[in-house]
Amino acid sequence: MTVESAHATPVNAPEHNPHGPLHHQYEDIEQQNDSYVTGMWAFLVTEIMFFGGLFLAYTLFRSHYQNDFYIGSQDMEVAFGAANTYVLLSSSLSMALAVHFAQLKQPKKVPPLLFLTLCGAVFFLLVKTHEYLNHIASHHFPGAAFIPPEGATMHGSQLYFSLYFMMTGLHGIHVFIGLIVISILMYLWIKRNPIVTEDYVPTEMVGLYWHFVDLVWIFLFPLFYLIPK
Amino acid sequence: MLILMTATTEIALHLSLGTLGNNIVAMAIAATKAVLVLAIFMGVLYTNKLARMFAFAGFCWLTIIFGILIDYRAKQPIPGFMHDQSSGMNLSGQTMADFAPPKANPPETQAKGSTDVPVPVSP
Repeated sequence: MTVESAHATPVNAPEHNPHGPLHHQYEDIEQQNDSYVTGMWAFLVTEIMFFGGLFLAYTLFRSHYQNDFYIGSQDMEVAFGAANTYVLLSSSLSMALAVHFAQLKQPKKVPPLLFLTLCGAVFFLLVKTHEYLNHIASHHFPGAAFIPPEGATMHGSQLYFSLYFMMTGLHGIHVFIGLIVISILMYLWIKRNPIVTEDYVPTEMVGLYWHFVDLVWIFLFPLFYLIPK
Repeated sequence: MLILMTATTEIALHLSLGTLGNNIVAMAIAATKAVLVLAIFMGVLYTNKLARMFAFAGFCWLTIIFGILIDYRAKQPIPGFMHDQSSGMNLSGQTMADFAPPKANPPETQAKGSTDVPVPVSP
């Protein structure tokens, strides 16, 4: 993973780098932090491209199949979506607080906040799985067993549901990856590993990723759950 | 702790979207825009210029690609563009028949035989 390998050196902690967290190719710590954050943003731009194409496809097909998309969205439980939104927003908040305390070098306060973020991620994934199982049981998964909901055409509603599963599934994979990365980060903080205690930037990079994941869901939720007549 | 305030206002906004109506789309997009601002002012304001350029480039990419491809549904397929089965024609209007080898000449009869030795055709 990018976070850990960025600091990988042959010698083990704590005397792994005689200059502290600064690596020898950088002039000062500010330049090093800048380069890490810039690299993370470059990655986030690729993620924007990843999701952007799907959002474009959604826009195009919704404009053509407005009725089918409306009927499809009636099948979504808004309560689940709203709960997921609330939980992801709170987890973003706890992540931001964790980054804040990492910057202040208070290693006691960081793991509980990361754990809160993890709880949010797990809750989100559980609710999503429940929703998926519901949809598959009611024949809304596109494929041979697909039965369109009342009043919707086969083509349009299959488009809606395949976009739904594709985009929320891709987002769910990102949530799952974030879950793994945050748990590794929490483990490193609990063990007071110098990788995370010396310099706050690894925590900040994971925070950036998590905020991006939250942002994508913020856009996904109204697009799939809150389609008006 | 501005983060806390903005997060709670976002949640309140989303709860207020419970009543459905035609204006919900505008409200939803406004709410999402506000969260985007949250991510931005948390992330981008404190970054260096190069990282900000990357973030801006990502936003520009989205705008450009949306602007270019938004009329995708208004276009008809170009005949012969992707070697599909719909037309056997390329962009110049040629079909496979235009590229068929020329019909072989009937073999020359003995009466017409020439004294020339047939020149072998180089491959």
